[in-house]
Amino acid sequence: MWILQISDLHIDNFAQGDINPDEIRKLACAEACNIVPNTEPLALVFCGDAIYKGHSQNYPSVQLFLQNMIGAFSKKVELCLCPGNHDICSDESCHFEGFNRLAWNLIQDEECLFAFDKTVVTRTILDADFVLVNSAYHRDYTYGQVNINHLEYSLDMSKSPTKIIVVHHGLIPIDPSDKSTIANACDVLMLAVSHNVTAILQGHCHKQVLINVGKNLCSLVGVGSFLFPPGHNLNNQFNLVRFDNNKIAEAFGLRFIADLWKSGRSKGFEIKKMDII
Amino acid sequence: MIQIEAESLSKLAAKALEECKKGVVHNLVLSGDFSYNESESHFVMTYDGVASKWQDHRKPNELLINHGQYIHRHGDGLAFLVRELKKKKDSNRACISLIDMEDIINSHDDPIPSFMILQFGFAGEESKTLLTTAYFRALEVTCFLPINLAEISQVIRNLKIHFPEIERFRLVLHAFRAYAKQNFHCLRKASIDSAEPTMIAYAVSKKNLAQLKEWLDSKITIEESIICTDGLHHLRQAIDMQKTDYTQEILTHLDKVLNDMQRLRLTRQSTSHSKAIEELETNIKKELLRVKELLI
Repeated sequence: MWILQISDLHIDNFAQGDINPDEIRKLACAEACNIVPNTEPLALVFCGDAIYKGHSQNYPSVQLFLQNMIGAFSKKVELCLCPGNHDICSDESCHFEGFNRLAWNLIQDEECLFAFDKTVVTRTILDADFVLVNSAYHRDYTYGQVNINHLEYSLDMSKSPTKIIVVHHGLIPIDPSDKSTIANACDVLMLAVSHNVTAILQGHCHKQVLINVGKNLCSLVGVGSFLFPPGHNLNNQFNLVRFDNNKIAEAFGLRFIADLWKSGRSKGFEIKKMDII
Repeated sequence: MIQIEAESLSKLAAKALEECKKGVVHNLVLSGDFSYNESESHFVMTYDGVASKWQDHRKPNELLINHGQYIHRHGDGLAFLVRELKKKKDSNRACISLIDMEDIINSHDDPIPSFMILQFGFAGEESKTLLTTAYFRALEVTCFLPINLAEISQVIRNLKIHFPEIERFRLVLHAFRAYAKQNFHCLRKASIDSAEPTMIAYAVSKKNLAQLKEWLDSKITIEESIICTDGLHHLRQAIDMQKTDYTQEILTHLDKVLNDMQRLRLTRQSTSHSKAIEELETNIKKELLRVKELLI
């Protein structure tokens, strides 16, 4: 199974850079279609921050964006979504209704809706369990936190040998000025290792990373922003990860290179095989 | 006629969508026997805030119409339900009728509720099972059905306060014509249409492109069943006044949009579902996207 990992859409109407979001989407999908064989199953995993600063009026744009992204493939593409700190909206209660309506409109599965008392949900795709974690459930946008009881319960319930955690906030601090890493990351990692989690897919840090942790080599895979504001052409990226035998078989990071694309020297995204650290 | 049964309201909505994705369904009947807790499920509560706006006694500005304004226009409709069921458990009049013949005859193509009747009763002498029946003249199932189910759940929760013995509810929902529109606006005004003309003129004069694009997006990303051109008219006027700051091409495309919207309005008067409507809707979105691209 292949996973197209994107994060941090931050969809809003900022002044555009050299390229508009729809163009980025088309280029990314064309590149993914080239890499992923048509016979292989594909899941689109979104690691949070659909909108910017809780501007919920932009959720319809996100919906259209993701619908178009899925529609670009000539096969059925399954979708997994988890919210991020920018998806905390002031015009909702503690249950992430705005994000949930997006999830419902795209997936139509009540099991994929988050609530304050349901901060971790599981979506099974083929033989893999995607454990989707809301690390912004506490509604404090300054840092991430995971409800450990909810995560433990979901991992205990998972019978699949392939367990993939999807979470927005980072588990390991990357930037010294960024204090928003998951506050109880150690507990999350310990649970992941003890439950033989195959991979943890994360967003938020706007940084590509692939690190193996624990005795069973649980892969921590971070991805940068797909549409970073304000320019939409600053470090746009996504990952393509192939899973085989409950392990990551190969992983590619794809980055949009605006200047090369503008001068016709690149098709848009440059591909680099990710080295496992 | 298509009948769908399910064990939860979310599954009912998902199955209805699956069916309507194949095409318009005439006489769609959704039914199920649910525990009271289903009226407070995560799915229902996801739409509870939106449902409250639809049930509010006063229509919120962001909606073209709401159900509350019809339910309560001759007195508190929900209070009537409680009184009627308290008085007579097997009453055949414990119903909310949102519109009457006058509304329909005089409506032309103006918006009126599709949600026409919601009726309640109890099965037998005991009040453990609440019978709940709803009739819709038309029903959009992708975006509106979840809101409607949350509205019905709100009324059920209200009745539970007065009839604490309710343990279950048996829902039958009948829609004359059910259809799926992925980005249906649910009679919510696009933000450009609820914006004050002076605010539009101000944003144009200040070249607040982010705001202008957001307003255009509010028309691009949703599918409207009621054609409203107010905001785009104000935008055209304002850009016309600031010609030096904007390319003339924007006005040309906005004129095309407004012209197509007028044609769409006329087409809609004779049919609600046709190829011509789809083509006009696609053209309008294409032109609006072009306007957005030209805002630099």
